[in-house]
Amino acid sequence: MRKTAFNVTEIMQLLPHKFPFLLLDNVSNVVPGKSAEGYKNFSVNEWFFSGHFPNNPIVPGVLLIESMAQLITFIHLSENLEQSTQNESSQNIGYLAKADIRFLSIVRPGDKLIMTAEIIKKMGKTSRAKVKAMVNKKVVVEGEITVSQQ
Amino acid sequence: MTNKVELQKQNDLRRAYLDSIKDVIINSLNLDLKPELVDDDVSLFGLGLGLDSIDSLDLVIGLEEKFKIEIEEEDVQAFKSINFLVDYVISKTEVEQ
Repeated sequence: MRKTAFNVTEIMQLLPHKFPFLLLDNVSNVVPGKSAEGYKNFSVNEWFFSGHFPNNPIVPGVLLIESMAQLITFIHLSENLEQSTQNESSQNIGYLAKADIRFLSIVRPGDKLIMTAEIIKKMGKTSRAKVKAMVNKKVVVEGEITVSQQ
Repeated sequence: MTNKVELQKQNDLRRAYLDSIKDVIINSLNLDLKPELVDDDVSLFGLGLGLDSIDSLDLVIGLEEKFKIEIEEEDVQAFKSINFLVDYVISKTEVEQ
């Protein structure tokens, strides 16, 4: 039976991203090459809160995009999960190519960002996904992200 | 006479597709161009419009939405020029209708 849920240790074996730039804590409902859900818990100890902003911590929008782009990369890398080794997968870097995103609400320390991503088109090594992220059942980010695999 | 009328109809149909495809190209890629200034034989890649992989994806999605067709990855070779693209879209539209 195919594995569809992954904890952070398993995510790190597949994604090339590591601390402090791994922005995915858990992935579930993975349909390789098609879609997945995932979440990231933003703790007050995150490295960027001290400067963004002092006394008013807010998750930078670019990191929300990055978090969803990592979920998209995971969807693609999960396609050859059984064949790939850690070394091989760490060479498969997904580059953020384009983002058409609407930010609907601010994300702060303590928020659990629950994301969904669905690939809507793939041409060669470039793919576009429809993405949505929610906090407390409220949509905070939505749009489309294009990623190119190296 | 009938052949002439039929030929005229085909030409009109092709012209309509050509104009629509130019609109999709201009809108999908946010080009600051008027459709009449885009040559029918201009190459989509390289020295022509110079599309990159992201532009190609934008164009494919734009064409799929406009003409309600499914464009396969291996068919992108049809994107050599706008005229090639017109032939491709007409053939796909006929097949999928």
